[in-house]
Amino acid sequence: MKTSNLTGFILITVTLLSFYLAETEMQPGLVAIVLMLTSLKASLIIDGFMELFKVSHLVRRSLHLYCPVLAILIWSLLFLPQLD
Amino acid sequence: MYNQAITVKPLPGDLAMWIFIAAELTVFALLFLLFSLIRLTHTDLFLEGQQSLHSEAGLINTLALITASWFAVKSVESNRQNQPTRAACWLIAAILAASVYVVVKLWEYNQLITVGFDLDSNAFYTGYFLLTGFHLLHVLLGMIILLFITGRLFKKAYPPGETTGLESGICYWHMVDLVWVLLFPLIYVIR
Repeated sequence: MKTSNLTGFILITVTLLSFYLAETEMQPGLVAIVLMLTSLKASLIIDGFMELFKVSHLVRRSLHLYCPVLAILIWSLLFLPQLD
Repeated sequence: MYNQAITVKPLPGDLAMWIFIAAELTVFALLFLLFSLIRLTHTDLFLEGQQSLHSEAGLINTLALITASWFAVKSVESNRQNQPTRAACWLIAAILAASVYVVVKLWEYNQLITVGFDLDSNAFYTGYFLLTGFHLLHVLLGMIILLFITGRLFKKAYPPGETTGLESGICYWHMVDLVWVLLFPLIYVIR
C-alpha cells in the first residue's frame, strides 16, 4: 500500500474512532485521549500529506509541536481549574 | 569513520508559503485558546450550544476535507510521474470533495439561523460562527488555489524541477485540513 493511501486510511479510521468517543460522556481522561488522537492525525498530515517526512527543517519541527502544545494548553484550560 | 549516505529531503514548496502558513496557524491557535477560555467561564452555555449542533455534519466535513487532501496528494504523485492531466483530474476530485464541506457547512449555518441562533445569540455561537466562518473562508481560498493549479496542470505548467508553485498551493490546502483536525474535536467532540 502506498504511503499516501495508508495515511488517508489511518486518518479516516482515527476520525471515526474520535466520533465514536464523542457519543460517550467526556471525562478528562477521555478528552486527553481524543486530543492525543488529534495530535496523531496532525502528525500524519504533516509527514504523510505535506511530505515533510525526512525533511530536516525548523518548519517540520514547529509543525510537529503545534498540535501537542495546543492540545496540552486546551486540556489545561478546560480541566485544571476543575481539579483545584 | 562511517561513510553513511544521509538522505535529507528539501522543504517542499516555497519558504514564503511556509511563513504564511505559520502566521495562519498562529492566528487559529489564538482563536482556539480564546474559544477554550470562553468555554471555561460559560460551561453550561457551551454544553447547551453543542447539543444544537449536528455532530454527523462535523464528521462528514472532516471526512470530506481528509478525502480532499488525499486526492491532492495523489495529484502531486501523478504530476511527479509526468502525468499532468491525471494530476489535474485528481485536483478536480479534491475540489469536489471540498465542495461537500462547503455545502454541509452552509446547511449547518442555515439550520442554526432558522432556529434563531446567530453570531449575537450568546458566547458559544459567537465563538462557533467566528471560528468556523474564518475556517470556511480559508477553505474557499484553498479551493480557488486548487482551481488555479488545476488550470496550470492542464497547460502542463509544472514539469519536473519546476513544481514549487504546485507544492506551495497543495501545502496551503493541507494547512486548511490541519486546522479542521483541531477544530472538529474542539467544537463537536469535547463536551
